[in-house]
Amino acid sequence: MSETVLHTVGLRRQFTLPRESLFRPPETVFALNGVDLSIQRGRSLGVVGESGCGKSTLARLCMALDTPTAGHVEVLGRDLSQLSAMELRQARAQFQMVFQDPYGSLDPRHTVRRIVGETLEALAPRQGDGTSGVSREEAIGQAIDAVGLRRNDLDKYPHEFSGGQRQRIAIARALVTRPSLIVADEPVSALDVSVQAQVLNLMQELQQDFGVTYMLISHDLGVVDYVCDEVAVMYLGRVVELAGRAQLFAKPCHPYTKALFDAVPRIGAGRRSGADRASTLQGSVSSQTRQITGCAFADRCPRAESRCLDEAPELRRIDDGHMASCHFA
Amino acid sequence: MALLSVDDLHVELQTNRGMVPAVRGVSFAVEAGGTLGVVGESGCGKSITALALMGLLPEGARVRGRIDLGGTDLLGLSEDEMCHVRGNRIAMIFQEPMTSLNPVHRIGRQIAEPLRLHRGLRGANARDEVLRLLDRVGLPDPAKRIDAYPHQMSGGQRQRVMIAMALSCEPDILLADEPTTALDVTIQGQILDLINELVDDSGMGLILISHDLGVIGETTDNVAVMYGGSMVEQGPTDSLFEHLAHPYSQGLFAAVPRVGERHDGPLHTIPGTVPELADLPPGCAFADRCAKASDVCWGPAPGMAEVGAAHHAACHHLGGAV
Amino acid sequence: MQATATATTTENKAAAPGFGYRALRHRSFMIGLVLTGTMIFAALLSLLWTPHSPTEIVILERLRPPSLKHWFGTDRFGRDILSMIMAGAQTSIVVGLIAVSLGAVVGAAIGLWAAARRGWTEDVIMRLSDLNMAFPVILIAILLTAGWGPGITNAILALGIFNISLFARQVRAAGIAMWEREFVLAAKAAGKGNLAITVEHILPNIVSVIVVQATISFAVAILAEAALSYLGVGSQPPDPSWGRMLSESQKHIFSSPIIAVWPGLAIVLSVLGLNLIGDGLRDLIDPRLARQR
Repeated sequence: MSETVLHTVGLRRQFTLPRESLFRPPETVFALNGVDLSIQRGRSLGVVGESGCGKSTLARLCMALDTPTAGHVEVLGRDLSQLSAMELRQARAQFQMVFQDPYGSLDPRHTVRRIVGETLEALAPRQGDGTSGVSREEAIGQAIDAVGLRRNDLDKYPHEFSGGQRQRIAIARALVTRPSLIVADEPVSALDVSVQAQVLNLMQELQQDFGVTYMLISHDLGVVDYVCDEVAVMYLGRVVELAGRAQLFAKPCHPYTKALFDAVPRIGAGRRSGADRASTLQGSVSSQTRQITGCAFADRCPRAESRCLDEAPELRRIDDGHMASCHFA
Repeated sequence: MALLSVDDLHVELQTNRGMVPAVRGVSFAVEAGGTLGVVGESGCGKSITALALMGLLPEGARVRGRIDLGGTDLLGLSEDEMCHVRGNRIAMIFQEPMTSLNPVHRIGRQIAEPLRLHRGLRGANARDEVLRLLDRVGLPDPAKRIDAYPHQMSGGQRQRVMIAMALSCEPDILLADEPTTALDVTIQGQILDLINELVDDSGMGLILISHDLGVIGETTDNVAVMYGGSMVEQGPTDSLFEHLAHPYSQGLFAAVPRVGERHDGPLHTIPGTVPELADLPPGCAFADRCAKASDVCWGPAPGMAEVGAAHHAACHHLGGAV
Repeated sequence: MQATATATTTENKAAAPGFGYRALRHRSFMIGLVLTGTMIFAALLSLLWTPHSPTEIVILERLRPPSLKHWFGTDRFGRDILSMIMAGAQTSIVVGLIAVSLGAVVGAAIGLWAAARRGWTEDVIMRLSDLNMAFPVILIAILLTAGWGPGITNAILALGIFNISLFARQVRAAGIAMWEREFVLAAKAAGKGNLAITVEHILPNIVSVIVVQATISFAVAILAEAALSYLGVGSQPPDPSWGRMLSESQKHIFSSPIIAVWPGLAIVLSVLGLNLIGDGLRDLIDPRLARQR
């Protein structure tokens, strides 16, 4: 029986920008405009999209690092917004995060032991002396084993490691409480290609060994394709297409998804000819500070009609387990 | 006679561990209208090579070899003479357009700067030329955007401005160092299209540096793979990607997860990490990460050997590799 | 850019030459260290021994030029100037140390609090500090003197109050930059509260800012103490003070200008020394921090 690990309901997040002029109201950024997603235990959901699509905001909301303007996040059936500060701190053991920048996400002045053990310490600050201390040390040791580092690395500082090793430390930190859910925000985009593959393989192995559920946020379709079971494509704060990996990559329905696939440079395709260039998606993502009435993609969409400007398409079922929000899908 | 030819280029950088070899004997050539892609991971020496071409190496760096541009050895030029070459005959665009543009000046003024310096254009003439350039690089509504500040533009637009600046003096060679790495995929496509189009139209040579094999594949006719400061494989892009000869190129190629190609097993990885320049082994730089490495690999470094038409690789074990 | 990135990682991984080694090679830092060391040594020595008593008045020997008996000469009361300079170093150090510690501890705490809370807390703190900065140290000291009469305590207090806003600003700015870092977000994700994050992550990473500022503030405090004593609102006789020595020498500036030179030189050299140390520390600490990005 599968269990829903993460469930978001009508998630919205708006930010108010600092006032630029005394005479105009401050602008609002519509970062997320109603996102409903769920992930079953042991599965992995990829969230793809370009900058400004709200994927990082989504990650922060799911990690309770930020509060939604509307809607809520449920982890293992518990609504995070209903938890007290104390309950939330305990609940954090169940969901952990891996950040993009392996240089910035580790405190340069802490040892690896302290970095990896931070969540354990936050859970039970007084633990650490006497018998219980042994188990904490053991938990840290196991996490460091699991990511393929050595236990005598524990007393080193982050700057003694390479980028790939630092990302392993970050994964060990996320893994140490044996969480159900790990949210990874661009975990490999700062790494070299050969090292990126090592980290992706590690994430796969950990999923098999520990049964963790992933939400993987990435701009790289190849990475998402490799790691994820399901993929959500986001554009301007909305999910525009949601499907199983195979379905999505075989038969993308939303014009944005198609454009995204076409834009990925392919090896062995030869230099781009005039015809290739004609099919490139033009324009750029429109401002997040505007409330859009119709389809958010309409201004760049090659298929857009007047209907697209007036009427926002619903995310609707196209096929078994395949949803898209386009009038023409 | 190639437009630009680099012969046995060596660069040593000053670090607090003494002089460290960053580029170790790199040779290549670019014809007029030709395109060369340079692929490699961080620290492979690809950006240092580019900076050596521009004469912009950091303080205390030592250079040996020959960089020949239309018959002149750039390494023999004085700083003043190099200033004339830079921006005028070789232009460069960088990864992060925001940090390469001065935030306090309007973009029109920044593009006009090289026009004034190298082409003596001033006032209305310069402004007309700037407008033409902005239009050429496909910036929407140039007449309005010419007075914008860099922060008022998107990343893709800023990169277009950088390209306009690079084009302003009709350079012979355009050096692009990771020009699309900071951009979104769909914007990356637009910028690559623009670069391709400009090369086709103007006949300038292009050297494109990237870690992304796909970007290289879609933009260049020739490609060079660098590792540990040396060139390990070089050849026409299509045939090179078809028959990767060097174990490093093979490993790099296999390590990239590609859309729509489901791997049943784990991704291919190259063990170990990208080496520090100061810690490079004496022989083949890749030996300690290479599955094919044997005793001979720890001896003298392998030279370039022909493995196909105009396709060369530097490996002691080429026989069984293809 | 790639070039510098490569070079820096190389440096980074290098069994980085220790702080001591780099400090020894930093010329102006070493000069600063020697100057400041001399001042501290003189102050410590004066606790145990001075050539003569710094307060002993020998009218017969007034206004003597430098000699073997009195290396720096004597003042208008026949006191030995070298002994007074040595003892005056004590005053300077005590005033500087207390004023700077007060500023550093209270100011850093306020700055850290402002950085952690942001919003209106920060606004209130910063506007108060603006107000404070609008009053020069001298003015604060004179106001305090008006209330409680002149004395060294008031000078220290005035300098301390000034330093509090100075440190609060610096620490807040550095702290805010640190709060933006991803490892802070990671600590939040681990369930750490604001206080724990401040103590464990923010403070250790900005300690260099505080150290550098403290060195420079120390120099400013020595200068300010001299100025206050010169104006008569600082340390009171018979406590030796460089500033008061200067002010007393004024009357004899034409007959025995050398009397004014000694305290002036002491002030200049100690302030210079501390500033050189401050600049040196900035060089020695900051690039390493930048590299550990």
